[in-house]
Amino acid sequence: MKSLKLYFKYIRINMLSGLQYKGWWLMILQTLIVVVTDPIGIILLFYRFGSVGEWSVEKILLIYAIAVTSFGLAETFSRGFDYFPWRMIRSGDFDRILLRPCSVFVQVAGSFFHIHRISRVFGGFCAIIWCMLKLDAVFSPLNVLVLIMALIGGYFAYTGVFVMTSGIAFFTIEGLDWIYIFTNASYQVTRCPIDYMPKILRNLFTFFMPMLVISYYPASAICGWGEGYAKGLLALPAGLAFLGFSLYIWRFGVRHYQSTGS
Amino acid sequence: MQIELKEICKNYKVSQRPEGRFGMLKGAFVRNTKTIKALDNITFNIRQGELVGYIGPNGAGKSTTVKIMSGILTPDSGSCTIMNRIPYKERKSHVSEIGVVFGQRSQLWWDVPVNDSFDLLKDIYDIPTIRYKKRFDELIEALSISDLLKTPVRQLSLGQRMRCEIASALLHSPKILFLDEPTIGLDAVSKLALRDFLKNENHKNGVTMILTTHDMDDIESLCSRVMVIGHGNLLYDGNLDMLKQQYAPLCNIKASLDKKTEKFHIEGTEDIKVVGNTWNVLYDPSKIPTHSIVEILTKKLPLKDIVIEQQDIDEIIAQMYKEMSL
Amino acid sequence: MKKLQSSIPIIRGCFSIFKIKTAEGFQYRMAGLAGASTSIFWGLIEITVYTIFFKYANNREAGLQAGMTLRQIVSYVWLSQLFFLMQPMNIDKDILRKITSGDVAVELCRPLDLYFHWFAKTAASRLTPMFWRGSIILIFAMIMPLSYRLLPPESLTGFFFMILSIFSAFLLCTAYAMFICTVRLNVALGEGPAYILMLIGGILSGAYLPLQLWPDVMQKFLLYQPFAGYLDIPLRLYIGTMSTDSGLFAISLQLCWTVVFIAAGKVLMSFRLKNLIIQGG
Repeated sequence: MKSLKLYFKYIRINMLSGLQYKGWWLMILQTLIVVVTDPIGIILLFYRFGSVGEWSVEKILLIYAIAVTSFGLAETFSRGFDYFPWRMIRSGDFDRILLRPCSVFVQVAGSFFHIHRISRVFGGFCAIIWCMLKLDAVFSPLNVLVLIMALIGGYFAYTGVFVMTSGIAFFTIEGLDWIYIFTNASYQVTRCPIDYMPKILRNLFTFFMPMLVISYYPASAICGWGEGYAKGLLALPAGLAFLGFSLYIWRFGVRHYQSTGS
Repeated sequence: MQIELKEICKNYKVSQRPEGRFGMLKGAFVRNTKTIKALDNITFNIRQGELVGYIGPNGAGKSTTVKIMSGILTPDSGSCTIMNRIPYKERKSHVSEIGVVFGQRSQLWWDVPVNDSFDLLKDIYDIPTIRYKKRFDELIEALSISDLLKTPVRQLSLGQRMRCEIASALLHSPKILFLDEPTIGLDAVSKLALRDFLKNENHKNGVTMILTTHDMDDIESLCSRVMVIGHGNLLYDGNLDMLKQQYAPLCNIKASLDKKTEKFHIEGTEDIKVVGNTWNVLYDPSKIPTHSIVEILTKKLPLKDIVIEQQDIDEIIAQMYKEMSL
Repeated sequence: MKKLQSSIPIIRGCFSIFKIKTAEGFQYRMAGLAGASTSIFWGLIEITVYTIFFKYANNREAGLQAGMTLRQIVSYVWLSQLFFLMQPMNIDKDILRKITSGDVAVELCRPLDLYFHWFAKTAASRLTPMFWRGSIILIFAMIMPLSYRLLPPESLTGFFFMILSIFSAFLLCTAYAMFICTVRLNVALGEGPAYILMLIGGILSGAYLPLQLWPDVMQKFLLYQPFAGYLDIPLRLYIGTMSTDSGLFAISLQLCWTVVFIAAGKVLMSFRLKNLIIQGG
């Protein structure tokens, strides 16, 4: 509980820092433009080619939007880990964190906060609601629960990616770019209708990084495309499991740092 | 003993780019690693309330030692006990009782007023409000920073920032304070004020201080004890006067004369240099007393003025590093 | 003549900056490999999506009606992954640091024209990732299974024109990056405006979707706007959806926009620097 309080204190001070700059509202606008323009390719493609079998643009967008919103949540509330490899290890600020008598995890997670990142969450969430309305989904308590669980699970999963990256960064920060496959590139995978998605992609994003578990299965459960609620509710445990796995790597990295100091 | 280090060793691996004309290109494919002994059997004890200067050339192992003592780094072998704890094993409880100041890096939040940083530190160190208030008032008074509290850190001058840094490191009343080049880049007035404050804090609250610095004046005015490290070995541990005697036994008498006078030898001195109208007589005070040289000089030379100098501390250290081939 | 002589040291100065930057870039071999793997991953996903639409979409003839075959799109995707690296994605780190820390004044003391000094720096930092990352992507794209493979150019003249066009595109990208850089000189606004400008360039370049597949009503506009010159024009020449006649026109269009951006950048920069000096940095 104390950790949580401290985390929000950290967020607060970083938010205040951000607001010191006059251009912060432009940053909000910037992220909003990113969010709106990001799926422009797929929308225009549907516009030209029409639906693919039963896969309409709304269906694809719903899955996409759930993934993006989760990613946005992680980017907003675990920004410190996202920045960690590039902003903290090199600068030696991590030493400072080790010198404070509280959880290293909380300190790193709260070490950066950019208010404008929330616009990805906002944009994504609007898209989810719009798609659900278009698809005549029912806003029953169960469906809302599945959706919320999906977003929380997604938050954990993407935080897991950041944490894992940070853990690996203790060993090398050269060539960490491939992690992009599991962050910004990962939700691009949702552009493939799931029936046509190559097996390898499907397995990678189900059994390793559970991106589809937190997006496709909940969406399918909510809209009744054939996957049951049991699978839809797997989002939260799957996200937690991935985060747990990442934390293991992170701990390993911290220990390595303490023994080499590099 | 508050701090006990015993036979601490620490090695680093560094990768090197192959040398030669195509080194850069080769470096893209192969890299050699080399092991460097950062610390080699370091042993020392520090009592509570001591003010210790820790010096050595760049890369000698100073910061590695400090990192081990502050719990950031695990040694390869040897034992380190501080206030009956092993720093790197009981990190949280250890760091809540130490303070660290880096002269080159800030622990304050750059863009927000100093006060906000202090507030957050209160929460980080979980300081009870009453104790915090008292300590806070004490520190802003002693460091005269009450006017700076509402200013964002990035707008402070280096001297002002350093005072705030020191305050932030002492808010939680640590028992040990590590200072890493605290006076680097400060002007003369700020330096003096800072030294006074540190001396006072040490005196009043019995805070143990370990100071790494390249500024020998810091050491001379603050530290009763000096440790010198080079190539990962502890080369000297004792008081500053002994160090001077060991490495700079010679004194110099500078005699200005009314007119140029031919050089002659004085029994017992090491060397005499004549530059224009000035004589420089180098001698070892333990071999020949100063007054007897002065006597000879007054008798035989048309003296205008006479000055007795000790070798400069910076020169001593430079010479010492050279002698130890650091 | 005098003017020419005085410009020689400037060119030499710029060239040495270019050399240092390139050497720096070579150090990050792993970064190149990792970067290439993301580009390849991205490319594979794109191709998969296009293949699905060309094969299973309800209106699967739409691509051909827009004038592109699936094979052409595959080539387009790979080459866009490659040349996307030229596009301004961020301001050069050194320059950014100088801008945000207010060290621009120091730069002004150097005997170099600041605009072209930075121009060389920016150009170099865009070119170096192309060597490592680019060649890995290219090799990979050429050895893929047939349906995922980068095809040879449609015609030799088309290829020749593409090379010309790529050079112009490189200048255009750098000029635009410099324009963004001068916008960034207004530190108070933060990175927002600069980023938005980059984003607009990226979207309209065809990197998100080949411009030919955009709605028909927009086609004329899309061809004339400056960012077609980033990517779309050279790639059309390569895959052969643009004739060499219109190619010549398109290349001159690229150069026109380059000149416009350089002029805008220089004007904006001298304006900003004047302000800077008046304010006293």
